[in-house]
Amino acid sequence: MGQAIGDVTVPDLSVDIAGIKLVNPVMTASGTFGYGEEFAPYVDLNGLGAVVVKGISLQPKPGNPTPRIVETAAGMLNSIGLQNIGVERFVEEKLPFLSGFGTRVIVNFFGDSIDEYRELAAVLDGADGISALEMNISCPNKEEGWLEFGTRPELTYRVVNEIKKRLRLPLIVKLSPNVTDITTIARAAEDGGADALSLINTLSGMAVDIETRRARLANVIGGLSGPAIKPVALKMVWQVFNAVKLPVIGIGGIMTYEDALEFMMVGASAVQVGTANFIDPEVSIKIVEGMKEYLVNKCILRIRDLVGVLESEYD
Amino acid sequence: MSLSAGGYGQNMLPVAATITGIDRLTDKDCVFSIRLSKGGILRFRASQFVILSLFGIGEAPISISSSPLDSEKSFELCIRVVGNLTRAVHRLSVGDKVGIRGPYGNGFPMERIEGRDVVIVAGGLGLAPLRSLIRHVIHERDRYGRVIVLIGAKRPQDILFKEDILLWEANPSIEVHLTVDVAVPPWDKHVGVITKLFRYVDVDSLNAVAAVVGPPIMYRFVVSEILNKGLFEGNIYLSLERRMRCGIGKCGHCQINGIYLCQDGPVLSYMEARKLKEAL
Repeated sequence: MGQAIGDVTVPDLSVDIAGIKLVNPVMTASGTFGYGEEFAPYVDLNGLGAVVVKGISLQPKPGNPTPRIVETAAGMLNSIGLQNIGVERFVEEKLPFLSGFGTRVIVNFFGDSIDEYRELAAVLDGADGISALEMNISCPNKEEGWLEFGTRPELTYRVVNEIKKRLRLPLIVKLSPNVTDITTIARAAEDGGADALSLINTLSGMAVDIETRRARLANVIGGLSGPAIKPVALKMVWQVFNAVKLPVIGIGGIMTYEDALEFMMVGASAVQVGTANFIDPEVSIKIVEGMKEYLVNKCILRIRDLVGVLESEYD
Repeated sequence: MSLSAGGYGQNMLPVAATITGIDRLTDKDCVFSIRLSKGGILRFRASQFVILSLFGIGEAPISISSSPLDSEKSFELCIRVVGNLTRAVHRLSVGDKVGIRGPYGNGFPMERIEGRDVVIVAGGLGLAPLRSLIRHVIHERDRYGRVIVLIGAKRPQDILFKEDILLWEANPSIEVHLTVDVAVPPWDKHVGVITKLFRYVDVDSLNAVAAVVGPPIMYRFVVSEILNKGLFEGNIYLSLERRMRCGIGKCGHCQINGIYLCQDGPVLSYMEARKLKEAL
Protein backbone atom coordinates (compact mmCIF):
# COMPACT_ATOMS: atom_id res chain seq x y z
CA MET A 1 0.00 0.00 0.00
CA GLY A 2 1.39 3.36 -0.99
CA GLN A 3 2.19 6.32 1.14
CA ALA A 4 -0.98 8.05 0.02
CA ILE A 5 -3.08 6.10 2.45
CA GLY A 6 -0.68 6.89 5.27
CA ASP A 7 2.90 5.94 6.01
CA VAL A 8 1.99 4.08 9.15
CA THR A 9 2.70 0.50 10.12
CA VAL A 10 -0.30 -1.50 11.18
CA PRO A 11 -0.67 -3.15 13.47
CA ASP A 12 1.78 -0.96 15.37
CA LEU A 13 3.80 -3.13 17.76
CA SER A 14 6.21 -0.42 18.87
CA VAL A 15 6.41 0.60 22.51
CA ASP A 16 8.31 3.19 24.50
CA ILE A 17 10.17 2.14 27.62
CA ALA A 18 12.15 4.58 29.70
CA GLY A 19 12.48 6.94 26.75
CA ILE A 20 13.68 4.34 24.26
CA LYS A 21 11.53 3.10 21.41
CA LEU A 22 11.36 -0.63 20.78
CA VAL A 23 10.07 -2.01 17.46
CA ASN A 24 8.02 -4.50 19.45
CA PRO A 25 7.52 -5.28 23.13
CA VAL A 26 9.32 -8.64 23.18
CA MET A 27 12.80 -8.88 24.68
CA THR A 28 14.90 -11.85 25.68
CA ALA A 29 15.46 -12.12 29.42
CA SER A 30 18.89 -11.81 30.95
CA GLY A 31 20.76 -15.07 31.40
CA THR A 32 18.67 -17.01 28.89
CA PHE A 33 20.05 -15.56 25.66
CA GLY A 34 23.77 -15.45 26.35
CA TYR A 35 25.45 -12.42 24.82
CA GLY A 36 23.14 -12.65 21.82
CA GLU A 37 25.74 -14.12 19.47
CA GLU A 38 25.05 -17.67 20.69
CA PHE A 39 21.51 -17.35 19.32
CA ALA A 40 22.27 -15.32 16.19
CA PRO A 41 22.61 -18.41 13.93
CA TYR A 42 19.07 -19.48 14.86
CA VAL A 43 17.17 -16.24 15.38
CA ASP A 44 16.91 -12.99 13.44
CA LEU A 45 17.95 -10.65 16.22
CA ASN A 46 16.50 -7.72 14.25
CA GLY A 47 13.05 -9.16 14.91
CA LEU A 48 13.39 -8.67 18.66
CA GLY A 49 12.32 -5.58 20.59
CA ALA A 50 15.55 -5.84 22.57
CA VAL A 51 18.20 -8.31 23.62
CA VAL A 52 18.95 -8.25 27.34
CA VAL A 53 22.39 -9.75 27.73
CA LYS A 54 23.38 -11.97 30.61
CA GLY A 55 24.40 -10.29 33.86
CA ILE A 56 27.77 -8.55 33.73
CA SER A 57 30.04 -7.88 36.70
CA LEU A 58 33.20 -5.82 37.06
CA GLN A 59 35.43 -8.92 37.21
CA PRO A 60 34.89 -12.22 35.36
CA LYS A 61 33.03 -14.89 37.37
CA PRO A 62 33.26 -18.66 37.00
CA GLY A 63 29.82 -19.26 38.52
CA ASN A 64 28.72 -22.03 40.87
CA PRO A 65 29.81 -25.68 40.89
CA THR A 66 27.68 -28.12 38.90
CA PRO A 67 25.01 -29.45 38.74
CA ARG A 68 23.45 -26.05 38.43
CA ILE A 69 20.34 -26.63 36.35
CA VAL A 70 17.50 -28.98 37.18
CA GLU A 71 14.09 -29.46 35.60
CA THR A 72 11.02 -29.18 37.80
CA ALA A 73 7.29 -29.46 37.17
CA ALA A 74 6.52 -26.85 34.49
CA GLY A 75 9.72 -25.05 35.34
CA MET A 76 13.44 -24.99 35.85
CA LEU A 77 15.75 -24.35 38.78
CA ASN A 78 19.12 -22.77 38.14
CA SER A 79 22.06 -21.76 40.25
CA ILE A 80 24.46 -20.66 37.53
CA GLY A 81 25.94 -18.15 39.93
CA LEU A 82 26.08 -15.26 37.46
CA GLN A 83 28.95 -16.71 35.47
CA ASN A 84 30.19 -14.06 33.02
CA ILE A 85 33.28 -12.79 31.27
CA GLY A 86 33.46 -9.46 33.08
CA VAL A 87 32.75 -6.01 31.77
CA GLU A 88 36.07 -5.41 30.06
CA ARG A 89 35.88 -8.41 27.76
CA PHE A 90 32.15 -7.88 27.28
CA VAL A 91 32.65 -4.36 25.95
CA GLU A 92 35.57 -5.40 23.76
CA GLU A 93 34.44 -8.76 22.43
CA LYS A 94 30.66 -9.05 22.69
CA LEU A 95 29.18 -5.59 22.38
CA PRO A 96 30.48 -4.78 18.86
CA PHE A 97 28.73 -7.87 17.47
CA LEU A 98 25.38 -6.93 19.02
CA SER A 99 25.66 -3.30 17.94
CA GLY A 100 25.61 -4.49 14.33
CA PHE A 101 21.92 -5.37 14.59
CA GLY A 102 18.86 -3.15 14.49
CA THR A 103 17.64 -4.44 17.83
CA ARG A 104 18.09 -2.58 21.10
CA VAL A 105 20.79 -3.82 23.44
CA ILE A 106 20.05 -3.75 27.14
CA VAL A 107 22.85 -4.77 29.48
CA ASN A 108 22.04 -6.47 32.76
CA PHE A 109 24.60 -5.76 35.46
CA PHE A 110 25.19 -6.54 39.11
CA GLY A 111 27.66 -5.95 41.89
CA ASP A 112 28.37 -6.97 45.44
CA SER A 113 28.68 -3.41 46.74
CA ILE A 114 27.45 0.03 45.82
CA ASP A 115 31.01 0.84 44.76
CA GLU A 116 31.10 -2.06 42.34
CA TYR A 117 27.70 -1.14 40.88
CA ARG A 118 28.89 2.44 40.47
CA GLU A 119 32.21 1.57 38.84
CA LEU A 120 30.54 -0.95 36.53
CA ALA A 121 27.73 1.41 35.53
CA ALA A 122 30.30 4.07 34.65
CA VAL A 123 32.13 1.70 32.28
CA LEU A 124 28.88 0.59 30.58
CA ASP A 125 27.64 4.17 30.41
CA GLY A 126 30.69 5.09 28.36
CA ALA A 127 30.39 2.19 25.92
CA ASP A 128 28.80 2.53 22.48
CA GLY A 129 25.80 0.54 21.34
CA ILE A 130 23.89 0.17 24.62
CA SER A 131 20.31 1.46 24.80
CA ALA A 132 19.65 0.94 28.49
CA LEU A 133 20.97 -0.80 31.58
CA GLU A 134 19.07 -3.35 33.63
CA MET A 135 20.19 -3.47 37.22
CA ASN A 136 20.00 -6.81 39.00
CA ILE A 137 19.43 -6.09 42.67
CA SER A 138 18.21 -9.51 43.61
CA CYS A 139 19.97 -12.51 42.24
CA PRO A 140 19.30 -15.26 44.78
CA ASN A 141 22.13 -17.40 43.45
CA LYS A 142 24.85 -15.24 44.89
CA GLU A 143 26.41 -17.01 47.83
CA GLU A 144 29.12 -14.67 48.98
CA GLY A 145 27.07 -13.27 51.78
CA TRP A 146 26.24 -10.01 50.06
CA LEU A 147 23.18 -8.12 51.19
CA GLU A 148 20.28 -8.61 48.87
CA PHE A 149 19.59 -4.98 47.99
CA GLY A 150 16.29 -5.93 46.44
CA THR A 151 14.76 -7.31 49.60
CA ARG A 152 14.97 -4.07 51.59
CA PRO A 153 13.36 -0.80 50.50
CA GLU A 154 16.04 1.44 52.03
CA LEU A 155 18.88 -0.50 50.36
CA THR A 156 17.01 -0.52 47.07
CA TYR A 157 16.53 3.22 47.25
CA ARG A 158 20.18 3.84 48.08
CA VAL A 159 21.75 1.67 45.40
CA VAL A 160 19.36 2.89 42.69
CA ASN A 161 19.84 6.51 43.68
CA GLU A 162 23.64 6.22 43.82
CA ILE A 163 23.81 4.69 40.34
CA LYS A 164 21.11 6.76 38.66
CA LYS A 165 22.44 10.15 39.63
CA ARG A 166 25.62 9.60 37.61
CA LEU A 167 24.05 7.71 34.74
CA ARG A 168 23.40 8.92 31.18
CA LEU A 169 21.61 5.74 30.02
CA PRO A 170 18.06 4.86 31.08
CA LEU A 171 18.03 2.59 34.14
CA ILE A 172 15.73 -0.40 34.42
CA VAL A 173 15.64 -1.98 37.88
CA LYS A 174 14.89 -5.71 37.98
CA LEU A 175 12.91 -6.69 41.06
CA SER A 176 13.05 -9.84 43.15
CA PRO A 177 9.80 -11.67 43.94
CA ASN A 178 11.29 -13.06 47.15
CA VAL A 179 9.92 -10.26 49.30
CA THR A 180 6.93 -9.71 51.56
CA ASP A 181 5.48 -6.80 49.60
CA ILE A 182 6.92 -6.09 46.17
CA THR A 183 5.15 -2.71 45.92
CA THR A 184 7.30 -1.19 48.70
CA ILE A 185 10.45 -2.22 46.81
CA ALA A 186 8.98 -0.92 43.55
CA ARG A 187 8.24 2.46 45.14
CA ALA A 188 11.73 2.60 46.63
CA ALA A 189 13.23 2.02 43.17
CA GLU A 190 10.94 4.67 41.71
CA ASP A 191 11.91 7.15 44.42
CA GLY A 192 15.57 6.30 43.81
CA GLY A 193 15.22 7.42 40.19
CA ALA A 194 14.62 4.23 38.19
CA ASP A 195 13.31 4.85 34.65
CA ALA A 196 11.51 1.49 34.43
CA LEU A 197 11.03 -1.68 36.44
CA SER A 198 11.32 -5.27 35.23
CA LEU A 199 9.85 -8.17 37.17
CA ILE A 200 9.98 -10.87 38.29
CA ASN A 201 13.40 -12.37 38.76
CA THR A 202 13.42 -16.08 39.71
CA LEU A 203 11.65 -17.37 42.80
CA SER A 204 13.92 -19.08 45.32
CA GLY A 205 13.51 -22.82 45.34
CA MET A 206 15.15 -26.22 45.69
CA ALA A 207 14.77 -29.86 44.66
CA VAL A 208 15.92 -33.08 46.33
CA ASP A 209 17.07 -36.43 44.96
CA ILE A 210 15.60 -39.00 47.37
CA GLU A 211 17.99 -41.73 46.23
CA THR A 212 21.14 -39.83 47.14
CA ARG A 213 19.43 -37.61 49.75
CA ARG A 214 21.16 -34.68 48.12
CA ALA A 215 19.91 -31.42 46.78
CA ARG A 216 19.72 -31.60 43.01
CA LEU A 217 21.71 -28.36 42.77
CA ALA A 218 25.28 -28.27 44.03
CA ASN A 219 24.45 -24.85 45.43
CA VAL A 220 21.40 -26.44 47.18
CA ILE A 221 19.11 -23.52 46.38
CA GLY A 222 18.44 -21.90 43.05
CA GLY A 223 16.03 -19.72 41.14
CA LEU A 224 12.78 -21.14 39.79
CA SER A 225 11.62 -19.99 36.35
CA GLY A 226 9.29 -21.15 33.60
CA PRO A 227 5.51 -21.51 33.27
CA ALA A 228 5.24 -22.63 36.92
CA ILE A 229 5.83 -19.06 38.08
CA LYS A 230 3.61 -17.22 35.60
CA PRO A 231 0.60 -16.69 37.86
CA VAL A 232 2.84 -15.32 40.61
CA ALA A 233 4.59 -13.02 38.14
CA LEU A 234 1.31 -11.78 36.68
CA LYS A 235 0.00 -10.88 40.11
CA MET A 236 3.16 -8.98 40.98
CA VAL A 237 3.25 -7.08 37.68
CA TRP A 238 -0.39 -6.09 38.26
CA GLN A 239 0.39 -4.96 41.83
CA VAL A 240 3.43 -2.94 40.76
CA PHE A 241 1.62 -1.41 37.77
CA ASN A 242 -1.00 -0.12 40.19
CA ALA A 243 1.58 1.10 42.70
CA VAL A 244 4.02 3.14 40.59
CA LYS A 245 3.98 5.46 37.59
CA LEU A 246 7.01 3.86 35.90
CA PRO A 247 6.68 1.59 32.88
CA VAL A 248 6.80 -2.07 33.87
CA ILE A 249 8.42 -4.92 31.94
CA GLY A 250 6.72 -8.25 32.64
CA ILE A 251 8.80 -11.40 33.06
CA GLY A 252 7.90 -14.87 34.29
CA GLY A 253 7.11 -18.05 32.42
CA ILE A 254 6.13 -16.49 29.10
CA MET A 255 5.96 -19.25 26.48
CA THR A 256 3.37 -17.97 24.00
CA TYR A 257 1.94 -14.71 22.69
CA GLU A 258 -1.13 -15.34 24.84
CA ASP A 259 1.10 -15.36 27.93
CA ALA A 260 2.74 -12.12 26.78
CA LEU A 261 -0.63 -10.45 26.24
CA GLU A 262 -1.75 -11.48 29.73
CA PHE A 263 1.24 -9.56 31.10
CA MET A 264 0.47 -6.53 28.96
CA MET A 265 -3.18 -6.49 30.00
CA VAL A 266 -2.23 -6.40 33.69
CA GLY A 267 0.07 -3.46 33.00
CA ALA A 268 3.34 -4.50 31.38
CA SER A 269 4.46 -2.11 28.62
CA ALA A 270 6.83 -4.80 27.36
CA VAL A 271 7.81 -8.36 28.23
CA GLN A 272 10.89 -10.54 28.52
CA VAL A 273 10.98 -14.15 27.43
CA GLY A 274 13.37 -16.33 29.41
CA THR A 275 13.19 -20.06 30.02
CA ALA A 276 11.23 -20.61 26.79
CA ASN A 277 14.43 -19.74 24.84
CA PHE A 278 15.92 -23.06 25.99
CA ILE A 279 13.05 -24.97 24.39
CA ASP A 280 12.76 -22.94 21.18
CA PRO A 281 15.37 -20.30 20.33
CA GLU A 282 12.87 -18.67 17.97
CA VAL A 283 10.10 -18.42 20.53
CA SER A 284 10.36 -14.63 20.85
CA ILE A 285 9.92 -14.14 17.11
CA LYS A 286 6.91 -16.46 17.19
CA ILE A 287 5.45 -14.44 20.05
CA VAL A 288 5.83 -11.24 18.00
CA GLU A 289 4.07 -12.91 15.05
CA GLY A 290 1.29 -14.16 17.31
CA MET A 291 0.76 -10.69 18.74
CA LYS A 292 0.52 -9.25 15.24
CA GLU A 293 -2.09 -11.81 14.25
CA TYR A 294 -4.07 -11.20 17.44
CA LEU A 295 -4.21 -7.46 16.75
CA VAL A 296 -5.32 -7.99 13.15
CA ASN A 297 -8.03 -10.43 14.18
CA LYS A 298 -9.28 -8.13 16.94
CA CYS A 299 -9.13 -4.94 14.83
CA ILE A 300 -6.70 -3.34 17.27
CA LEU A 301 -4.28 -0.83 15.75
CA ARG A 302 -1.65 -0.47 18.46
CA ILE A 303 -0.29 -2.98 20.94
CA ARG A 304 0.26 -0.21 23.47
CA ASP A 305 -3.52 0.23 23.62
CA LEU A 306 -3.65 -3.12 25.45
CA VAL A 307 -1.37 -2.09 28.31
CA GLY A 308 -3.24 -2.22 31.63
CA VAL A 309 -6.67 -2.77 30.08
CA LEU A 310 -7.60 -5.39 32.67
CA GLU A 311 -11.28 -4.92 33.46
CA SER A 312 -11.70 -4.09 37.11
CA GLU A 313 -15.12 -5.59 37.57
CA TYR A 314 -17.35 -8.42 36.50
CA ASP A 315 -20.79 -7.32 35.38
CA MET B 1 -28.21 1.10 33.51
CA SER B 2 -28.32 0.03 29.92
CA LEU B 3 -29.58 1.76 26.83
CA SER B 4 -31.09 -0.40 24.15
CA ALA B 5 -33.58 -0.13 21.35
CA GLY B 6 -37.04 -0.31 22.81
CA GLY B 7 -40.61 0.67 22.22
CA TYR B 8 -42.45 3.89 22.75
CA GLY B 9 -41.45 5.78 25.85
CA GLN B 10 -37.99 4.25 26.14
CA ASN B 11 -34.71 5.92 25.39
CA MET B 12 -36.22 9.32 24.79
CA LEU B 13 -34.11 11.05 27.39
CA PRO B 14 -30.48 11.82 26.67
CA VAL B 15 -28.01 10.45 29.22
CA ALA B 16 -24.73 12.09 30.09
CA ALA B 17 -21.61 10.74 28.42
CA THR B 18 -17.92 11.62 28.33
CA ILE B 19 -15.58 11.92 25.38
CA THR B 20 -12.67 9.58 26.15
CA GLY B 21 -10.71 9.88 22.92
CA ILE B 22 -10.52 11.87 19.69
CA ASP B 23 -8.78 10.65 16.54
CA ARG B 24 -8.53 12.88 13.50
CA LEU B 25 -9.20 10.99 10.26
CA THR B 26 -9.27 13.78 7.65
CA ASP B 27 -9.41 17.56 7.70
CA LYS B 28 -13.15 17.38 8.33
CA ASP B 29 -13.70 14.01 10.04
CA CYS B 30 -12.88 12.92 13.57
CA VAL B 31 -13.68 9.78 15.53
CA PHE B 32 -14.90 10.37 19.05
CA SER B 33 -14.74 7.60 21.65
CA ILE B 34 -17.60 7.99 24.06
CA ARG B 35 -18.34 6.42 27.41
CA LEU B 36 -21.72 6.66 29.12
CA SER B 37 -21.68 8.00 32.67
CA LYS B 38 -22.12 5.77 35.71
CA GLY B 39 -20.91 2.67 33.88
CA GLY B 40 -23.81 2.78 31.45
CA ILE B 41 -23.66 0.37 28.53
CA LEU B 42 -24.96 1.09 25.04
CA ARG B 43 -26.36 -2.13 23.60
CA PHE B 44 -26.59 -1.73 19.84
CA ARG B 45 -26.39 -3.47 16.50
CA ALA B 46 -24.22 -2.60 13.52
CA SER B 47 -25.82 0.21 11.46
CA GLN B 48 -27.80 1.64 14.35
CA PHE B 49 -27.38 5.31 15.28
CA VAL B 50 -27.55 7.49 18.35
CA ILE B 51 -28.73 11.05 18.74
CA LEU B 52 -25.92 13.18 20.07
CA SER B 53 -26.75 16.35 21.94
CA LEU B 54 -24.61 19.30 22.89
CA PHE B 55 -25.88 21.44 25.69
CA GLY B 56 -27.09 24.78 24.41
CA ILE B 57 -26.69 23.83 20.77
CA GLY B 58 -28.88 20.93 19.78
CA GLU B 59 -29.03 17.35 18.54
CA ALA B 60 -27.90 15.35 15.54
CA PRO B 61 -28.21 11.70 14.51
CA ILE B 62 -24.82 9.95 14.21
CA SER B 63 -24.26 6.35 13.18
CA ILE B 64 -22.08 4.19 15.40
CA SER B 65 -18.71 3.28 13.88
CA SER B 66 -17.48 0.76 16.43
CA SER B 67 -18.73 -2.79 16.65
CA PRO B 68 -20.98 -4.03 19.43
CA LEU B 69 -18.29 -6.67 20.00
CA ASP B 70 -15.43 -4.15 20.43
CA SER B 71 -16.06 -3.02 23.98
CA GLU B 72 -18.93 -2.91 26.39
CA LYS B 73 -17.73 0.29 27.94
CA SER B 74 -17.43 2.70 25.07
CA PHE B 75 -18.41 3.25 21.47
CA GLU B 76 -17.16 5.41 18.60
CA LEU B 77 -18.84 8.07 16.48
CA CYS B 78 -17.28 9.34 13.26
CA ILE B 79 -18.35 12.93 12.84
CA ARG B 80 -17.85 15.16 9.81
CA VAL B 81 -18.11 18.90 10.06
CA VAL B 82 -21.22 19.75 8.08
CA GLY B 83 -23.08 22.30 10.19
CA ASN B 84 -23.55 24.04 13.48
CA LEU B 85 -23.64 21.10 15.84
CA THR B 86 -20.91 19.07 14.19
CA ARG B 87 -18.66 22.13 14.13
CA ALA B 88 -19.23 22.51 17.86
CA VAL B 89 -18.47 18.82 18.45
CA HIS B 90 -15.12 19.23 16.72
CA ARG B 91 -14.24 21.95 19.21
CA LEU B 92 -14.68 19.57 22.16
CA SER B 93 -11.82 17.90 23.99
CA VAL B 94 -11.27 14.62 25.81
CA GLY B 95 -13.16 14.78 29.09
CA ASP B 96 -15.97 17.01 27.80
CA LYS B 97 -19.57 15.94 28.36
CA VAL B 98 -22.21 15.29 25.71
CA GLY B 99 -25.71 13.81 25.74
CA ILE B 100 -26.57 10.49 24.09
CA ARG B 101 -29.94 8.93 23.42
CA GLY B 102 -30.69 5.79 21.50
CA PRO B 103 -29.65 3.58 19.91
CA TYR B 104 -32.23 3.95 17.18
CA GLY B 105 -33.00 2.26 13.91
CA ASN B 106 -33.32 -1.40 13.04
CA GLY B 107 -29.61 -2.11 12.54
CA PHE B 108 -28.07 -4.70 10.28
CA PRO B 109 -29.75 -8.16 10.38
CA MET B 110 -26.66 -10.12 11.43
CA GLU B 111 -28.64 -13.34 11.91
CA ARG B 112 -29.66 -13.25 8.25
CA ILE B 113 -26.12 -13.10 6.91
CA GLU B 114 -24.68 -15.94 8.98
CA GLY B 115 -23.04 -18.64 6.92
CA ARG B 116 -23.14 -16.54 3.76
CA ASP B 117 -20.63 -14.70 1.61
CA VAL B 118 -20.72 -10.99 2.41
CA VAL B 119 -20.01 -8.10 0.04
CA ILE B 120 -19.65 -4.75 1.77
CA VAL B 121 -19.70 -1.61 -0.37
CA ALA B 122 -18.77 1.69 1.28
CA GLY B 123 -18.77 5.03 -0.51
CA GLY B 124 -17.35 8.06 1.28
CA LEU B 125 -18.89 8.59 4.69
CA GLY B 126 -20.76 5.31 4.20
CA LEU B 127 -17.71 3.63 5.71
CA ALA B 128 -18.64 5.15 9.09
CA PRO B 129 -21.60 2.81 9.74
CA LEU B 130 -20.11 -0.04 7.69
CA ARG B 131 -16.95 -0.06 9.80
CA SER B 132 -19.19 -1.32 12.59
CA LEU B 133 -20.37 -4.19 10.38
CA ILE B 134 -16.87 -4.99 9.10
CA ARG B 135 -15.46 -5.17 12.64
CA HIS B 136 -18.42 -7.25 13.75
CA VAL B 137 -17.80 -9.75 10.96
CA ILE B 138 -14.05 -9.90 11.73
CA HIS B 139 -14.72 -10.47 15.43
CA GLU B 140 -16.75 -13.57 14.64
CA ARG B 141 -15.12 -14.36 11.35
CA ASP B 142 -15.91 -18.09 11.44
CA ARG B 143 -19.63 -17.42 11.12
CA TYR B 144 -19.41 -16.05 7.58
CA GLY B 145 -18.26 -17.17 4.16
CA ARG B 146 -16.05 -15.02 1.95
CA VAL B 147 -15.92 -11.39 2.99
CA ILE B 148 -15.20 -8.79 0.32
CA VAL B 149 -15.00 -5.10 1.17
CA LEU B 150 -15.12 -2.42 -1.55
CA ILE B 151 -14.28 1.12 -0.50
CA GLY B 152 -14.48 4.28 -2.57
CA ALA B 153 -13.52 7.86 -1.77
CA LYS B 154 -13.12 11.10 -3.69
CA ARG B 155 -9.41 11.59 -3.17
CA PRO B 156 -6.74 9.75 -1.14
CA GLN B 157 -6.86 12.40 1.55
CA ASP B 158 -10.62 11.86 1.97
CA ILE B 159 -10.33 8.16 2.86
CA LEU B 160 -11.75 7.48 6.29
CA PHE B 161 -10.25 4.96 8.72
CA LYS B 162 -6.99 4.58 6.76
CA GLU B 163 -5.28 2.65 9.56
CA ASP B 164 -8.26 0.31 9.87
CA ILE B 165 -8.15 -0.32 6.14
CA LEU B 166 -4.46 -1.22 6.37
CA LEU B 167 -5.29 -3.58 9.22
CA TRP B 168 -8.05 -5.21 7.16
CA GLU B 169 -5.64 -5.55 4.24
CA ALA B 170 -3.24 -7.32 6.61
CA ASN B 171 -6.01 -9.76 7.52
CA PRO B 172 -5.83 -12.78 5.22
CA SER B 173 -9.41 -13.74 6.02
CA ILE B 174 -10.99 -10.78 4.21
CA GLU B 175 -10.49 -9.08 0.83
CA VAL B 176 -10.29 -5.32 0.62
CA HIS B 177 -10.34 -3.23 -2.58
CA LEU B 178 -9.93 0.49 -2.52
CA THR B 179 -10.49 3.14 -5.18
CA VAL B 180 -10.48 6.92 -5.43
CA ASP B 181 -12.20 9.09 -8.02
CA VAL B 182 -9.18 11.33 -8.36
CA ALA B 183 -5.68 10.02 -7.67
CA VAL B 184 -3.02 12.14 -6.09
CA PRO B 185 0.59 10.84 -6.23
CA PRO B 186 1.91 8.57 -4.79
CA TRP B 187 -1.42 6.72 -5.00
CA ASP B 188 -0.88 3.10 -6.08
CA LYS B 189 -4.39 1.65 -5.69
CA HIS B 190 -7.38 1.76 -8.06
CA VAL B 191 -8.66 4.92 -9.69
CA GLY B 192 -12.26 5.37 -10.78
CA VAL B 193 -15.80 4.93 -9.48
CA ILE B 194 -16.53 2.16 -7.01
CA THR B 195 -18.44 0.06 -9.56
CA LYS B 196 -15.07 -0.65 -11.23
CA LEU B 197 -14.16 -2.80 -8.22
CA PHE B 198 -16.91 -5.33 -8.90
CA ARG B 199 -14.66 -7.26 -11.22
CA TYR B 200 -12.94 -8.52 -8.03
CA VAL B 201 -16.19 -9.75 -6.52
CA ASP B 202 -16.38 -13.51 -6.82
CA VAL B 203 -19.01 -14.92 -4.49
CA ASP B 204 -21.54 -17.73 -4.18
CA SER B 205 -24.20 -15.44 -5.61
CA LEU B 206 -27.26 -17.47 -4.67
CA ASN B 207 -26.14 -17.47 -1.09
CA ALA B 208 -24.43 -14.10 -0.80
CA VAL B 209 -25.57 -10.88 0.83
CA ALA B 210 -24.47 -7.32 0.15
CA ALA B 211 -24.44 -4.28 2.43
CA VAL B 212 -24.26 -0.90 0.74
CA VAL B 213 -23.88 2.55 2.26
CA GLY B 214 -22.79 5.65 0.43
CA PRO B 215 -23.92 8.88 -1.17
CA PRO B 216 -27.41 8.72 -2.78
CA ILE B 217 -26.02 8.76 -6.32
CA MET B 218 -24.09 5.56 -5.64
CA TYR B 219 -26.98 3.20 -4.87
CA ARG B 220 -28.49 2.82 -8.34
CA PHE B 221 -25.18 1.96 -9.99
CA VAL B 222 -23.93 -0.28 -7.22
CA VAL B 223 -27.20 -2.19 -6.92
CA SER B 224 -27.16 -2.81 -10.65
CA GLU B 225 -23.64 -4.28 -10.40
CA ILE B 226 -24.69 -6.50 -7.51
CA LEU B 227 -27.75 -7.74 -9.39
CA ASN B 228 -25.45 -8.51 -12.32
CA LYS B 229 -23.48 -10.76 -9.99
CA GLY B 230 -26.67 -12.73 -9.46
CA LEU B 231 -27.59 -11.78 -5.90
CA PHE B 232 -31.26 -11.77 -4.91
CA GLU B 233 -32.96 -8.42 -4.36
CA GLY B 234 -33.86 -9.51 -0.85
CA ASN B 235 -30.20 -10.17 -0.04
CA ILE B 236 -29.04 -6.66 -0.88
CA TYR B 237 -29.19 -4.35 2.13
CA LEU B 238 -29.02 -0.60 1.81
CA SER B 239 -28.77 1.91 4.62
CA LEU B 240 -30.75 4.98 3.62
CA GLU B 241 -29.77 8.29 5.10
CA ARG B 242 -32.45 10.89 5.65
CA ARG B 243 -32.58 13.75 8.09
CA MET B 244 -33.63 12.09 11.31
CA ARG B 245 -34.77 14.31 14.11
CA CYS B 246 -36.69 12.54 16.84
CA GLY B 247 -35.43 9.01 16.28
CA ILE B 248 -38.68 7.54 17.52
CA GLY B 249 -41.01 7.74 14.53
CA LYS B 250 -42.90 10.87 15.52
CA CYS B 251 -41.59 13.93 13.76
CA GLY B 252 -41.86 12.65 10.22
CA HIS B 253 -38.61 14.14 8.94
CA CYS B 254 -37.35 10.77 7.78
CA GLN B 255 -40.62 9.53 6.41
CA ILE B 256 -40.67 7.88 2.97
CA ASN B 257 -44.16 6.92 1.87
CA GLY B 258 -45.51 4.88 4.77
CA ILE B 259 -42.30 4.15 6.63
CA TYR B 260 -40.16 6.00 9.14
CA LEU B 261 -36.52 5.35 8.37
CA CYS B 262 -35.47 6.07 11.94
CA GLN B 263 -37.45 3.03 13.09
CA ASP B 264 -38.17 0.83 10.07
CA GLY B 265 -34.73 1.65 8.67
CA PRO B 266 -32.18 2.86 8.09
CA VAL B 267 -31.41 -0.62 6.75
CA LEU B 268 -33.81 -1.84 4.06
CA SER B 269 -33.43 -4.65 1.59
CA TYR B 270 -33.40 -3.58 -2.02
CA MET B 271 -36.62 -5.55 -2.43
CA GLU B 272 -38.29 -3.24 0.09
CA ALA B 273 -36.54 -0.07 -0.97
CA ARG B 274 -37.37 -0.33 -4.68
CA LYS B 275 -41.09 -0.27 -3.88
CA LEU B 276 -40.78 3.09 -2.18
CA LYS B 277 -40.95 6.06 -4.50
CA GLU B 278 -38.23 8.60 -3.69
CA ALA B 279 -36.25 6.06 -1.67
CA LEU B 280 -33.44 5.65 -4.19
